[in-house]
Amino acid sequence: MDMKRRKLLGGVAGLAASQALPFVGRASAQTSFSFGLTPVFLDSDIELLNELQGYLSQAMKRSVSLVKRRTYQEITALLLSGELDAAWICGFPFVQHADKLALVAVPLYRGKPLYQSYIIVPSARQITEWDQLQGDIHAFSDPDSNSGYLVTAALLAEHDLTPAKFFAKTFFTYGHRNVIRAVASGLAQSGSVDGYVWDVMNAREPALVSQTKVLRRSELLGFPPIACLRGNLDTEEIGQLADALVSISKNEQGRKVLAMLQLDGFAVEPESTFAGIAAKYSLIQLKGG
Amino acid sequence: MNRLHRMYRAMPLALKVPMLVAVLTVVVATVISQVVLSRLAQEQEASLRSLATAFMDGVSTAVTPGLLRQDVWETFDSLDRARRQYGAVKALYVVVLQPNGQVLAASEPEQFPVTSNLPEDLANLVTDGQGLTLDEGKGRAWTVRQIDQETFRIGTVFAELDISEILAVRNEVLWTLILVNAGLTAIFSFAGYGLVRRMVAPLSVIQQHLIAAGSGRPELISDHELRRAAPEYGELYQRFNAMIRGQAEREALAAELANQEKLAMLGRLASGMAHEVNNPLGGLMNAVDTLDIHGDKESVRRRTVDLLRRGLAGIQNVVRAALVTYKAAPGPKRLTRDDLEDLPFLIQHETGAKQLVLDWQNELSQDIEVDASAVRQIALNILLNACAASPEHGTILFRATVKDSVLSISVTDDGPGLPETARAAAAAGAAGAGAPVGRGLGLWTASRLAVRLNGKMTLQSGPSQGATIVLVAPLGEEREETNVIAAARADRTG
Repeated sequence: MDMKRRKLLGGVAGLAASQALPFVGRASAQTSFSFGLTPVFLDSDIELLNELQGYLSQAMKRSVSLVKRRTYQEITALLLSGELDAAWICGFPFVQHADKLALVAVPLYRGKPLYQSYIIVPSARQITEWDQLQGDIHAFSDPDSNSGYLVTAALLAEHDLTPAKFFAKTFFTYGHRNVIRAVASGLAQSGSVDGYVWDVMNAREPALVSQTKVLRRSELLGFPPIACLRGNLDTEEIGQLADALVSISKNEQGRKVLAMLQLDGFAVEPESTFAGIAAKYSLIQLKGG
Repeated sequence: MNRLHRMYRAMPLALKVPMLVAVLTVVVATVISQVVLSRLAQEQEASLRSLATAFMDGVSTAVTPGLLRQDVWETFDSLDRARRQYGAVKALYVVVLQPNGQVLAASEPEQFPVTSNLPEDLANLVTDGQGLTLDEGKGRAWTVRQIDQETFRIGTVFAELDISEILAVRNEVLWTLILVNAGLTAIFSFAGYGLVRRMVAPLSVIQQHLIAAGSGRPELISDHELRRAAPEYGELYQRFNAMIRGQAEREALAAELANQEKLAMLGRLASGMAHEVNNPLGGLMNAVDTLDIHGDKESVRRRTVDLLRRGLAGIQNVVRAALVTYKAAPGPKRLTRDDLEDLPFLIQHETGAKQLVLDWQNELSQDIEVDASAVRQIALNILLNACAASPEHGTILFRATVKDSVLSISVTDDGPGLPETARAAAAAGAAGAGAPVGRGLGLWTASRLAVRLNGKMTLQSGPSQGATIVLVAPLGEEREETNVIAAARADRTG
């Protein structure tokens, strides 16, 4: 993919730095790069954040600030307003703002830039079909999450249903891990969760995840990508970021990051990778879900 | 109740005091335990209230943002974290309710699903309860906190707490108190029993010696006991011994006086007897002379020998009576009719001098089980007393009968009646008191001997003049002279 580079405005970087995590050092106004993270994955892993920040700073040869917010919406808003140079967002906000956002890179999970959305239920629950979830208390991850909301909403929309009609009650946990907790504890009788997160957590926290089981796997959809403002795509910093991500497996610290994330690497992918998500978005817009 | 009272009264002091100590200890222990437990319960409840308040403060603060937004996850997440953070409070569950009573979120969502309503009993606790409701039987407490934002009620937090550990602590304290108090009660009871036994042991020594003295065998408390006794009891022992010695001396003195009286009486009798022997002696000497001169004459010899025989028989009677009365008795002898029959010979000097008429009614028909020597001495004493009191030519009535195993001897005279000194002497003799000075020694001796026979001597004055003295003695009973008296007598004579 052809990437253009341009100089980042110092003011934007400074503003982003002010939102930085405490452990991220404040860099000079000219060189600091702010990188937004959503709770798309393991949001509480401080070591991972340290390693990622360390790797990016070293690979991009500039200080990098990691900016984290509770909801997708906040990160998306910061990215759209230019307060973040780039962000790891979900495919759903990406297709929602496809006119303003451009892809920097897409993670490779099991060799592909794709993942699935899971509908999970308590492991003891004896059901086999998704339509048996009617009347449930259902946990979504985030209203701007593809796997944690859009996929299930679109599934219902295909059957002329909405979450509000189909479920007795829905709520958002603002984290895929929280969806698993909500279903495991019985707070929710079912939940929509990122399949990649569920799989990774199943290996890391089997005691929690084993209390849930997957009822339905969606088709493969575009993995949450790293995006930037479309207008910034050609800047030097974005180019450095893309290079750093694509070549992450060539560096030891980078491999460590990949190992923690259980990803295979990053690749520059076409926007058509997210066509499936865009179709679902169109569907719920059409059906009013 | 009365039976218990009687049992209590009959109980020895060595049991009564430890029992009272035990009862007192139990009462004190119960009261102290009650106070401790009640205070502990108050402290625990106050502590639980403050803990529950702190817990609910924390939970309320944590869930308020979620409640405001009706955010199920945020509320649940807060509850889930709160449960881990408040180790001091064992919350079984915490439920956050919306103003309409529906569950927004609970720490145990399977028990209280989102949008469900609380079971009725718990809902009533939420409606009625403010603060803390305790159920010690179930080991549970419930606490309710209304959450208001500005003037609006946005929800309620309701929690069930497990207070069984607190109750277990209280139970542990209760058992500790019970065991410690039971141990103390047992120790105090045994110690009390031992102490009281030690304290009352000297009393039982005195008691035994008093019982021995009462049954006529007084014994001194030994030097060993005296040395062992505490100062108070030592003095008591010494006073007891002094009393026993004093009594023994009085007894010995009385026996001595009686002996002297006996000797005095013997003197009087000897002179009387000498007179009685001397009277026929002149006639007997004449008879011997007559035989010497006219012995060859058959008629004279026979008449003279008859005279001699009668005279010698009279002398023999007098001598035999004296011998029976005053020879040292080898031991108690059964009383025979003849033991009384020869008494008139002993007093014939007195009766003869005043020409008294002796109305002798000895109705004893067979031997009877009573000390013959004592009865003879009593009868002789009261007969001599009657002789002394009677006017010249007076009559003395002697009557001896046995009826219903009781010997009765009465002596009546027609003298001027009994003076007060005679009555006092008889009373002193019966009471075991010392002998009177001067008159009345005979009656005093008779009274003492009557006591020895377990009998009684009564003195009656006639309506105008005369007196009757009656001895009543049961058959087959006699009190022994005690060792101490014997020893004291031996001291005085030896």
